[in-house]
Parts: sequence; C-alpha cells; structure tokens
Amino acid sequence: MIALNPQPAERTFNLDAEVEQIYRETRGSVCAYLVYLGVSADRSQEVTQEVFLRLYQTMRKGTAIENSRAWLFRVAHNLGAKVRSRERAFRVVAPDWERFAHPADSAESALIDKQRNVRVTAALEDLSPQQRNCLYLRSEGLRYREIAEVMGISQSTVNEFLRRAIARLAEAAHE
Amino acid sequence: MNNNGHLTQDELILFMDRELDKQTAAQAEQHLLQCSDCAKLLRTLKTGSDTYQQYREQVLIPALEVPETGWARLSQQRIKEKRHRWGLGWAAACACGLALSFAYLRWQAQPSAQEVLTRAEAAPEQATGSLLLTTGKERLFRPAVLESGYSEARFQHVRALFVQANYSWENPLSARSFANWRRALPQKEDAVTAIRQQNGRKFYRLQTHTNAGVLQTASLTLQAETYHPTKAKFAFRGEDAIELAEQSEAPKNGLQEVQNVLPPVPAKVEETPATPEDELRVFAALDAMGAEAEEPIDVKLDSEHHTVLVTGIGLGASRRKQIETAIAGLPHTVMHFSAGRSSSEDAVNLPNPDGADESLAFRQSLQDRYGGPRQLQVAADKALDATNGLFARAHLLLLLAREFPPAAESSFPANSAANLLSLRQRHIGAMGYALRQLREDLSPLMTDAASSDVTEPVPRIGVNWQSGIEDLFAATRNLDRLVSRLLSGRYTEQEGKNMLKQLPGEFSKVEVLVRNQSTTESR
Repeated sequence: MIALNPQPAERTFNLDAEVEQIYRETRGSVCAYLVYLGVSADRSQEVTQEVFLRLYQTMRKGTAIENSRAWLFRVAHNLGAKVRSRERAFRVVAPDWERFAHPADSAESALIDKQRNVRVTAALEDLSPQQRNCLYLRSEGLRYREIAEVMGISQSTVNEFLRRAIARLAEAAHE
Repeated sequence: MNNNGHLTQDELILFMDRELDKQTAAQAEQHLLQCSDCAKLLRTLKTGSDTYQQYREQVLIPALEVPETGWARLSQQRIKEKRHRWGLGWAAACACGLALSFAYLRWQAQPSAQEVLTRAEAAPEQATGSLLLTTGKERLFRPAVLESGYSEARFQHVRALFVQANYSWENPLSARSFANWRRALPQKEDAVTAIRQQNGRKFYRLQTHTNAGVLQTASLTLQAETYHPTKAKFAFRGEDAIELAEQSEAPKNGLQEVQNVLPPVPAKVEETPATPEDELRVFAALDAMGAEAEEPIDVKLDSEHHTVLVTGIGLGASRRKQIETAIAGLPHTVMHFSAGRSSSEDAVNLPNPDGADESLAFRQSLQDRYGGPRQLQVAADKALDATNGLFARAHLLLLLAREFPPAAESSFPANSAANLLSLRQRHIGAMGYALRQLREDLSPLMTDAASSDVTEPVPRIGVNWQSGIEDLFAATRNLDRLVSRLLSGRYTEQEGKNMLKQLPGEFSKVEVLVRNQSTTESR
C-alpha cells in the first residue's frame, strides 16, 4: 500500500536513503571532476562532501531536483572554481600513460597506444580549458544543455567548443 | 546542411551525440545512408570522440589520483553535525604505489546494478531503428519505439504481458523503461555481469529477478562505453522467454509488416544490380552490431552478381549468428562464412555474450551441482567478480615487482620500504581472502579431482618476493581464464569436463603461490 501522506520521520528516512544512494553512485565522478578541475586530492573530498550536503539541504527544503547528476556537477563546478582560486597552487594533471598499459597488451599495441596518447595529449593541450571541460562533462554522460548549465555558458557555445575539440581529436587520431 | 548539400560538422556531431530533434535526426540519417562523404566524415569524428573516451579511461582518470579511501557514509547524523573533517591518514596511504593501485582497481572495478542503470538512464537514448523480437515460436520485427495508437494483432499477446508487468511496451529496449519497471518492484535481486567480446568490446548485462508480478526476470545488455542497450530478455511466468535485439534497419517491407522467419527464410536476391547504398547499409548494420575493423569480416560489392557479399573467416557460431541477424533483410546481401583458422585459443578469453552454451546438457549438470539455474548464476557472478579481483591484485603486484626490483628496493629509506611492504601485504591479504571466498563459491565444481592434483610443479619463490610474482601472475591469469570460460563461455561437453578436472589444480597453484608470498612477507 502506498502512503499518500507519509509522516515526517518517514519522509526524512526516504530522503536520507535517496541522497545516500545518489551519493554512492555519483561521489566518485564528482570527486574526479573536482580533481580534474585542479582541486587538490584532499580538498576534493571535502568539497565533494560539501556538494552532497547542499544536495541534501536543498532536497530537504522540498526543492525538486529533476536531474541530480547535472545539479551535482554544476555545484561541484562552482565550488571547485572557488576552492581552486583560494589554493595557492593547484596540481596539474600530468598523465603517466606508460604505467597504465593494459596487462594483455602486446608490446606493439602498447607502443601504438603510447604514440596515440602522446598525440591526444598534445591535441588536448591545444584546446582551451573550457573546451576540455566540455569534453570531460560530455564523457560523463551529460547532455549539451546540462553542460551549458554546469559551465554557465550557452548551449550553442557548448556545441561550438565540442565541435572544435572533437575535430581536433579526430585529426590527432589520424595523424 | 551547407551550400554543397552536405551535413556540417556541427550537425554530424550533434547527430552522433543524439542531440538533434527527432525529425532532424531522421533527415540526417537518411542523408548519411545516401552520402558516402558525410558518412566518412561522421566515422572520422566518431574516431575523435572514441579516442578521447579511450584516453580518458586509460590515462586521464588514473592520473587524477582520486582518493581511494576515507569516504564517510553520508548519514543523516553526519550531515546534521557537519563536523566531519578529513584527516590526513589517507594521504599516507596514497603514498608510493597507491595511485598505481587505485588506477588499476578503478579500471577493473565492476559497477553495481544501480550504478550501471543510473548511468544508462543518463545516457542519451536512440529512438530509431527496429527490434527483432524472438519468442519460442517465432521471430518478429517491430519498431524500436511505437507511436501512440500503434496496434498489431500479432503482438497482442506479448503486448498484454508487458502491460500486465507494468513494463513499457512502447519502448522496451530502453534503460529508462527497465529502470521504471525495476523501481516499482517491492522486492528484487540484481546481478551485473561484465562481458568482453572477441573484438574487445565490453558490455554489461544487468539482470533483475523478482517474485512479484508476472515478469519474473528481465535482463538488459548495455554497451559498457556508451550504456546503449542492445539486447533484452524477459522471462514471464509460464511463458517462453522473449528476447529483443536491436536491429540497425527495419526489414525492407516496412515496419508495419511482420515477418515470420522461423524457420529462417533466405533473403530473396532481386535481379537488380546492388548499389553502393546497399553496401553502406551492410556496413552500417555491421557497425551497429559492434563489428570492428580488426574482425575477419569482409564486405564487397559484387556488381557482376548483383550482390553485396559479406564474408567471414574463422568466426564462431555465435558471432555468425549475430552477423546473420544484423544483416537479415538487407537487400542484395549474401553471406558466406568459412572456418579459417581455429579460434579455440581466443575462446579461452572470450565469454559468449549471449550466455548460450553449445552444450545444454553440460550446463544443466552445472546447474544441478548448484541446485538450480539461479543459484548457478549467482555463484557464477560472485566467482567471476572474485577472479577479476584476484587478477587485478596479481597484476598490481606484478607492476610493483617490476617497478621496484630488489636493487631499487634495497636503496629505499625506511619509510618508503614500509610503504611498499604495506602495499604488498594489502594485496596478498586481499588475494588470500578472495581465494577463500572463491573456494566456497566454486566448491560444487571442485569435486572432479583431488585438490592436491597439481599437474605442474609449483615453483618455490627465491630469496626476494619479486621473483615469485611472475609465476603468481601467470597462475592467477590461468585461473581467471579457466573460471571465466567455465562459467560464462561456450564449449563442448568434453571441454567442460576437462576444465572441471583442471580447476582444483589451477586453484591450488594460486593458493600455494599466495601462501609463499605471505611467507616472504613475514620474513
């Protein structure tokens, strides 16, 4: 039977469970995005916690959040930018792709992967930070409209950023 | 479109990302079927997109070094208190090779059912094309998404089942439909199986079982990269299993017509020349079913014989069937498969994505050992998770051994040496624990040979731990392959029996090598 008017305790319980579930499913992605933005690893955990606290508080107020994933990325983006600006220096992601080869890779395919990754790294360096962020959020499964909301830019700008980025990566892949 | 009548890069990327509205997407799709230039450019852009995805998974995410430990449970109490501060303890744990460990574990980690479903729900949906619906009696085509008011007498019974189960009949091959059905269940059990195909493509099969309602079990197969659903299976109470598979294109005679294809009716070859468009349709169908350039599949336009000739060499029966299904109904298309080289060696690594064993009798015997198909499935999922974890740990140890050979290790200051030791102990301890769990999960299968039946001598480790790691890695890999194939592969009955005989020996070998490593740890 469905309770049409759940008691406050029950509502709280449901909300807890809902936020808990969202937290379990999304915390890794949110934290990774913060680190990607340049927030240090230890601070990223704190900020991730803060992001979910805000989600909880917002939902407790009764505000409906249609797409919690996009909402979390938007808050993480804003908080991450603030934190990064306060940190004296933030780490630059420096991929060490040689160390992460697939165990089953042959030497030849590992070499090909390595060369391709070098080209991709160079291609990404040619892009603006915003273009790279668009790519990252797209690969997190966000729609263009959601990326635009997260980054505070128009959807047509997202289109343009992604067009340039993907075209540049396609060139790099075929070089 | 640009002035030359071609799609612009913008439009192609929007089409690729399913960001176009339905009508524009349909127009773009139509154009792509006719324009090889635009189709080629789309493939190029897709390569760029795939390249980033691969880079992200292989390089970027591991390099981010996202903290692995220290996650607090987000309980209400903690939220209210809001006093939780992250300590620095985890930072020490990140030292030395932890980033390495996390990167690999993260890469290996298998997501939960909810996680897979959440991501799949968030992924854009493709609402075009058609579905092949297979029941015990017939195979029928239907549109992937039904418009309101669509009615077809021959679907009435199946439709009624879906409606009764509260599962969307309008769009059944959809993560959202699956999630909506699953969410409403008062009681359910989930299982996620990772499947890696011969061509390297990875899929997740998400299965939910419930005793509530007419639909008892539903499974959804999703591409691991895009979370795009490709197949679904439904077990309704008292009914034959119903399977839905994505088709790249509807049968030539239109979506409204239903085609009975059991027994299979060979596609009629019309006496008109095949065109490049026909060839492109075949390429599109193969691409949609996940065929890779590296696969031994060749497509040729044989205009002399009015056909598009699809040849496959050395493909397994299951793969052939997939190809036949994918290009069934395409005009002017003729298939020719030959045995070629044996693919038995590859098959060791390659679970059958359909889960359909050639030897049903042997499968039945495995089910009997576990007390039923569901029990076997549950145990298989757990065992495959455990062997995945074991293999990941063994690989990490191998990386550590190679990264820090004895000479390098001996020059470490005390704290670095302690970090390395701690890391190794963690992995060895985790392997020991996983082996104990795995032995329990596999116990019904471990009766065919004595546990001491180790056919090869187990090498003793040398004076340092590094020298035994290569053997441990190889033994763990062999065990992983054996268990994967035994529980989710396809093979003959005789091969199955042979594998059961090998299992205790391979298992013991890993146990002994892990024990040897533990001994070294304590020296």
